Amino acid sequence: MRLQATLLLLASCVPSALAIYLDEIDHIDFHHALLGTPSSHSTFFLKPSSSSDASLLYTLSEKLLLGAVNPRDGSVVWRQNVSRSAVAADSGLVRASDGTNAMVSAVGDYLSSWSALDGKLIWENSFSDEHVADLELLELEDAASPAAAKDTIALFGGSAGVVRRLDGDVGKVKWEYKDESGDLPFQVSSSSTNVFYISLQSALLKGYKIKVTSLDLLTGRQNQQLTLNSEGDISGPESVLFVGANTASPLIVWTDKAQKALKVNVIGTKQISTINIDNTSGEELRSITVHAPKKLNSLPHFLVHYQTQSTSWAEVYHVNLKSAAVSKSYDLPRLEGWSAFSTSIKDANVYFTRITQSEMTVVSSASHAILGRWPLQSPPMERALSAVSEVVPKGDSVAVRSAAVLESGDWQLLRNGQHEWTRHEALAGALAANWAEEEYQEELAHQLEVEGHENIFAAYAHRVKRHVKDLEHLPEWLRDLPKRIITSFLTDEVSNLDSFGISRQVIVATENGRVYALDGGNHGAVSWSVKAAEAETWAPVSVVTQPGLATVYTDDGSSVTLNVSSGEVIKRSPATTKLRSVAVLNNSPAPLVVGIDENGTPVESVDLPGFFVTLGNGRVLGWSADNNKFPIWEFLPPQGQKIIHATSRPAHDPVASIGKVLGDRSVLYKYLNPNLVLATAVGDKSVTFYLLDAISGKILHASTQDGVDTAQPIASAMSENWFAYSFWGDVVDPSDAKGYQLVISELYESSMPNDRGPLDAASNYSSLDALPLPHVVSQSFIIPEPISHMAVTQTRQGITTRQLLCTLPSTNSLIGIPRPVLDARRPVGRDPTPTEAEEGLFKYHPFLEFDGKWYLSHTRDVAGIKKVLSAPTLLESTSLIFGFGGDIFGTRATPSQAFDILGKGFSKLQLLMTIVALTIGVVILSPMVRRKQVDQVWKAS
Amino acid sequence: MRLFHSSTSSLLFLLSTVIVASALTVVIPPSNLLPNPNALAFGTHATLTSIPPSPQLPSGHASPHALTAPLTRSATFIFQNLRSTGKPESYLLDVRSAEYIFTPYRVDVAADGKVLGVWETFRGNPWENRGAERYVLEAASVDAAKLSEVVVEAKVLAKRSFYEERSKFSPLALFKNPMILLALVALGFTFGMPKLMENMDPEMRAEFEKHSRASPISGATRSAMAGGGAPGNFDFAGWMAGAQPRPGGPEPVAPQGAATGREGGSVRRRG
Repeated sequence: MRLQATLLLLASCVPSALAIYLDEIDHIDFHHALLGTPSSHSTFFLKPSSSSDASLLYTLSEKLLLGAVNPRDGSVVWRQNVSRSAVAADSGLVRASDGTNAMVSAVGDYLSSWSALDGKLIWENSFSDEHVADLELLELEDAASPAAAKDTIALFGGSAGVVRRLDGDVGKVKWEYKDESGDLPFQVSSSSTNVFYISLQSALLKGYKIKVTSLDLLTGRQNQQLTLNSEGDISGPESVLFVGANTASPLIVWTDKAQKALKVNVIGTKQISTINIDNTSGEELRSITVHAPKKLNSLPHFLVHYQTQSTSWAEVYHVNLKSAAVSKSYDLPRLEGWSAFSTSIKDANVYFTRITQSEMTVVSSASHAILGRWPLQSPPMERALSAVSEVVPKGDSVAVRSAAVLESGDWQLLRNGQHEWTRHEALAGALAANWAEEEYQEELAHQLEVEGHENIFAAYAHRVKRHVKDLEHLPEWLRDLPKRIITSFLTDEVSNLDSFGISRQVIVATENGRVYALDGGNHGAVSWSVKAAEAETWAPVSVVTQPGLATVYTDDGSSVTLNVSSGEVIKRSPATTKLRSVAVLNNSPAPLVVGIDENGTPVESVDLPGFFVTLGNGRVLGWSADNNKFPIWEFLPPQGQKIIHATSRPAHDPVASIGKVLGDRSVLYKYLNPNLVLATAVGDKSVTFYLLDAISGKILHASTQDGVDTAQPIASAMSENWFAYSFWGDVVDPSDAKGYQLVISELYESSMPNDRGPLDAASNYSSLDALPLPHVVSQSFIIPEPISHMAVTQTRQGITTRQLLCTLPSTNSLIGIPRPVLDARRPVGRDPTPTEAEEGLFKYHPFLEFDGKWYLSHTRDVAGIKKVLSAPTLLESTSLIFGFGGDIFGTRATPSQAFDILGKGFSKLQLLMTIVALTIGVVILSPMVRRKQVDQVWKAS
Repeated sequence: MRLFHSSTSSLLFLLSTVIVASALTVVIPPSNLLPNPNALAFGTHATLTSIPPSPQLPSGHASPHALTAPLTRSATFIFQNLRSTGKPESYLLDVRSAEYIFTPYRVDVAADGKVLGVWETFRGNPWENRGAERYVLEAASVDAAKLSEVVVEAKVLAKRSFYEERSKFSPLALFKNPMILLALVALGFTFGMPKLMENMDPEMRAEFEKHSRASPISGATRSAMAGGGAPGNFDFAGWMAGAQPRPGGPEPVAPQGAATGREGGSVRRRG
């Protein structure tokens, strides 16, 4: 108690709400700016500027984020979310050409062109009820200025196929060609004079014929139409392996149904060349991929990559554009395992890069001589799904860098066989996360428990034994001591505070079936990642940790338990019923986890005291833990309202003081009920927040807001004796303001100070008896931007002032609003009286501008955060924060400043220098003083 | 036939874009706070927000009531798709940037998608409370091409500072510390005084010594230097308070008692 009082005093002495220091960036926080797994067809190296030779790595990811990555260090240069389509789209296209600072992306019905250097918009356009099926940039050889914006040819599918030429500068339609024949629009390709529109015409019986329509480049008029007899081979768009984009590879490639022969057609001719597939492995071909150069002036050479279960090989072909003949040039040898091929172009030469599990090789398309071969550093490498490469010829040899997308979703850059960087793009699909608990603490806790239960002498003996045993760490400790002292003077790395639980591991479960461990002490680096799901994907709902173990619960009722330090799978439990969420009962030694099904019913009953509150069928249900047949209570919102969200106080939510001391030394007692539930119900343009008691289901408080856009985010959070929520509030009454609002409500036992209401001196209370209603004080603020998710900082003893953590999706930030600012008792319309000022209250202002100092993410662009977790540390001042869902962001918040640690502001060197200076002073002065004293004694006598 | 069809349809399309879509362009001019608008981060965008007329929108269509325009190369935001919603709308126009704070605007759009007016607005004030006018549609002008292009300038209000300044160690600040100054003066006396004394003529020195013997400061210093500590009759507290040394006992300090009593009482009550 006394310690608490001291800490409270300390906490109140220091000014609250402080921003981070410049030198703490990357020291207390970490950020993975993610794009999502790069898609194989829309990833490439590109030189965005014709004046510079530097290239960037561009991708349109599976999360529909278009971004540029610096190939040197793997940092994101810029990124844009292009999923603005009105029609649902799960993949997109992006095209760009070397030397032009423009790239065009298409997702669904939304087309946009972006500046490749800095990610600024050039133009955007959308075509309702249509979706983009293919996209090409017009490469005109005879263009006067090569750097000028290139026009786009876009093929739209929908009710009818439409080919449009869009202006490169403004995105306006120059011409369009409508195909009313009912064919399946497939691809477009262009040459310097024609645009080829390739569609699939359904044949009489089954299969498709390939129809090639050539259109005039300038007017979009139809010139000529050809139909290829492919109905025996092609059963759908997926049967066509490749359609070339331009004159470098004007090809349509498909195979017959038995995968015995490859058929190649040069676009614009009727001739089909048939090449026999030489599959001597006896295994079934798993995939055939065609790799061809995309650049206009490159040689018309292409590579066909064959992959079976255990081997892979490739063949290189040359095309004679005049005679439309295709001839085989050479083979690349059959190798065990997988291969990933990529094409790169330098001048007109085409190079093929092959990455296998043990080496990287580069060949020229002209001859089979290997130009470069590098063994990979850490074989065997994980399987790469696709790769892009950039080859720089240096005389006879070459240098190459390849960005490979691995099966795990990682994106890795290899330069001449050396591993340069890895981006863990799968983390963009994080669905559940939690802090890991380390094992050794458990050991100590166990020992202390033993001591607590023994008699005093045995406990003493045990303790002495334990301390003697601890001595075995002494030499190690002594050895580390000089290093520790020196490093503590030079830097104060996070490792110095390791013992205070500052650098904890975070276990993250992603949607692609993997589990990652991020080291919070080491810039959030991935310590291990494992494929934990047996299927391709899974939907984890929760990660529950106990010392040394982490268990991932998924929505099908199955769970996987992993070792936190190694990532090894320890236990699996099979799928049961479909779950909505899981409830965790804190029961020693291991937490008890109960699944909640889709209807909000607990799947099992446990013989423990406890209550659940669940959401199901649009109502809130209250359950006793020992009965999963019938709920104790049900809360059904009024007609026309739908419950969308419910929140409660965090599991760890200690309250330092049961009352609030006012300026005149009287106390306003807080209404502290551990069983509070805040349910959000939306109606037609209104939202109602119900504060329920979880045991009895009684409504303690309800507030309704009108003129609310329910399609905009509505967030809420609760802690201690207060709750906050935000929404978009529109004008209902002429005196209303328009904007996003944040409402804070505080609960007190009584409206009068020094009054505890009906409870007064009662030491116990019951939710089932007449539960007194709280006295609610609210204040509402207009805020500048929407809040998509709210959380509250947690500290060990709840003494430190809390911060309301808000995710701001429109500026990609995370802020912590200090509670003193959000005080519902701020005086309205007048200045505070001296007693109020003593409490720290200041005048209410309806508009709450977010102060830059509240930005925990400062200048970082923290995009797509869906959930924010907060955890206490052993230091009362410090709370750990971790946000996931899109990017990964972790930081430490000190809402009342780091009052219990000597930060960087405390100059140890200065202290040391002062001591040294004083010592020197004493050494110099003491003989002088002694001499003087002696002199004086002699003189006096 | 087909050629004719395609050309007419493209013509129709061009026409329809001119008529239906009324574009609103927001330009960011260079200002003192933001000298180079092209240096804005790539994530900067502008939004037009209002409540949809009914929550049940035809599915498959994005709500037209939260329109977004990304930052273009020329540091502008272009809202191209101000389509008609069948009802006049009043939008809140925000420029979203973490680093810069922009003035919010009110944009009124007519039922046919025409921009009626743009005004500055004040957050937390009634919506009818409009600020400086930025653009108002003039009834006389009927030129369709002009109507479709509305250009307003955004205004930067402030720049957010995210970081705390760390107080730097500087020797100058050290010398501003009164404790250090006191110590330096004392040091100066210790070393400088004997030198001064030596340079004085004997007569003056005698007088000075007589003087200093009478002063309690030098007396105290001397006795402290002599290693004996403060003499028994030296009233240190009195000397600190500036009182003359007196042989009598300590003075009673009664009048202060009442003032501190309240503090003590409240402390007891709180404990």
